Amino acid sequence: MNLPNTPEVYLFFLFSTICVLTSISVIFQKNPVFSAVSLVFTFFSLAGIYGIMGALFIATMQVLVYAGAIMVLIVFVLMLLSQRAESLSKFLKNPIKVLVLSIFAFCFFFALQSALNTGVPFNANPGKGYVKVDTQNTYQYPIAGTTSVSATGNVATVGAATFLDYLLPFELISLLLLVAVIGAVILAKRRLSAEETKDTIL
Amino acid sequence: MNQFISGIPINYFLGLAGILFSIGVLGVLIRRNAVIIFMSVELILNSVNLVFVTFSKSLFNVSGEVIVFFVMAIAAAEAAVGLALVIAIFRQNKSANVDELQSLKW
Amino acid sequence: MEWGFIIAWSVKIFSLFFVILTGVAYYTLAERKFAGFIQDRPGPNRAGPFGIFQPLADGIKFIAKEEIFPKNVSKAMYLLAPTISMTCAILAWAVIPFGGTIPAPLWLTHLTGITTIDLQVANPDSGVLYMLAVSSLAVYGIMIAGWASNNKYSLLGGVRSTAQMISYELPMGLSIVVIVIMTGSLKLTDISNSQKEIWNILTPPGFVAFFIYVTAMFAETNRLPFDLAEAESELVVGFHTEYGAFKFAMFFLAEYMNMITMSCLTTLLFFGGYNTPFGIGAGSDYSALIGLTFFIIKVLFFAFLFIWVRWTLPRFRYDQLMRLGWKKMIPWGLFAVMFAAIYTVYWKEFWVRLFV
Repeated sequence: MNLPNTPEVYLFFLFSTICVLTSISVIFQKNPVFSAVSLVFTFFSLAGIYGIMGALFIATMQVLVYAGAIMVLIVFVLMLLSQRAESLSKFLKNPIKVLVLSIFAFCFFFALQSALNTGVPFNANPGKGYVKVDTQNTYQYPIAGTTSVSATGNVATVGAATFLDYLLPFELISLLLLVAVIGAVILAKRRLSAEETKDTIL
Repeated sequence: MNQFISGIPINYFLGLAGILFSIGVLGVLIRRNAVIIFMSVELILNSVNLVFVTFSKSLFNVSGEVIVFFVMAIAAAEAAVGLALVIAIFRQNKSANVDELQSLKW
Repeated sequence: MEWGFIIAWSVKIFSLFFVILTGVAYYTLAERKFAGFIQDRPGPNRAGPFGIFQPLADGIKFIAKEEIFPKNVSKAMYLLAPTISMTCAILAWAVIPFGGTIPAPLWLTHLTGITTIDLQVANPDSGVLYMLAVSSLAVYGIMIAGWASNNKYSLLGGVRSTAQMISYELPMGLSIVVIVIMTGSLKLTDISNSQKEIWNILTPPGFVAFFIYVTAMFAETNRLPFDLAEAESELVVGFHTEYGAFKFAMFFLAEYMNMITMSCLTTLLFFGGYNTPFGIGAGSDYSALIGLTFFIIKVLFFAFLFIWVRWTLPRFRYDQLMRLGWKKMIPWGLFAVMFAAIYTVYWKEFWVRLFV
């Protein structure tokens, strides 16, 4: 286990420690708002790990979408519903259940780890239209009528792949988000009774 | 296939993803509050995202990062709908405990 | 990445940190002086000639005051809120470019082997997206502050302010998308360099996006005319009612830092960044420093705009604010995005040739 003495290695260990500690805190805190704030720190450290890997677009998206939008929604819901602290003691009174469930979770982890050790199948050819020029990622895609689209840098590469190869899933995702917005509004709407609808100004 | 990403062997990243996945599964099994179960599911989704990005960097294929982008969008949609459901249930039951959802009709 | 880079970065970060904190402290003095000027009174002038030492006096006061914790408050969350606000305000400074590259001083070259310094801490591929992400995180400071104060009115102020901030992130994002479409890259240096011939505000889609962006900018920083979260006559001080001494100083400094950050972003996106007008001094040895000077002048103008608007316009009501954000800004933003796409493909060279 001889890792190079670069700052990236130290940053990786720092971020992964924070990640694991805060995710354990997510499931073992009594107050749900503390869990939510711990999850925000988990996402933040995951974004740091994505940054170390060089996936800058995904790192920024992680902070923007997960930590900045989804968790805001969750914390909002927790605060407005004024969740009382759930008592963990009711659960801890049953130690057999704790033991069985923990062993089950550890088995999951060992199964995943052993799958890693047996090796990973991979394709020797590079991906479709993907060329590694120097240290930058370049996406060169022949489109009918043009010579090629070259995109340098991580963001441009992901954008080129999304809009050239994966255009259909992209449009379907936008449709799905529209459906989710409409569904969320209808599900959370308060059904006003007959007298209330006359008085309330919407 | 590149065995190292920025000097770190990929087994470390995959091990971290495995740990996060197990912690997420433990959270779903242990806790009884609907919102905390939902947060554990988000943790599971994030561990999967980490695996996708690791292999995208290791196999020099950018499709992994694109799929992560889509997974994030789906997680956002799921968050909106799931929390709307939790709010609707909370209005009826005054509690978000999933053990109390035992009747088919209230 | 080697350790030499880390040392050079640390030097840059510490000097930037010092400069920003001093700048923000004097910005608070400038606000009070300009407020006095608009209201026909002198403003602070006791602490030194023209009140120069007033920020120092304020700093000493904030540090020396007694720290109070209200009853039945969870200490961790209560202390976390101003920390998050301040952290996000400072984080946004990591990607702002102040100019081109300057040659490194000799002691730094001997120490680390770095020969040129960019006047920017980091230049990631997704610069503009990073700034949007950091301003999304700033919402947490306010939300947690409102909730952790154990006070009905703070919670109300916090919830209203959170709703306002997340509603106005969308028009801001859309106007930034307009600029990104015209430029073709998310890097802030690319956006600034692409404005060499013509400033983005002088292009038709940039002009439309500018007004959307300025309105969203005022709403994101919780400044008048959108400051009902801290409306002094309605909710006392809103979400930071229960915060005294140093914790209040952190909220205060975070707010002013956000204002200067947004002014910097406005000049970078719309007003040519660190390019000199009419190409003065291009190609000389000091071109980076001349660019820096012009950048600072433009940023100071926008900082003054914040103060000017605060003491001129009345406050929006909450439902008026929400209606403006969702029903007027977002459709205009979407129209601007489509207009920018059409402009970039068909109309751009013709328009730029008119000006060059």
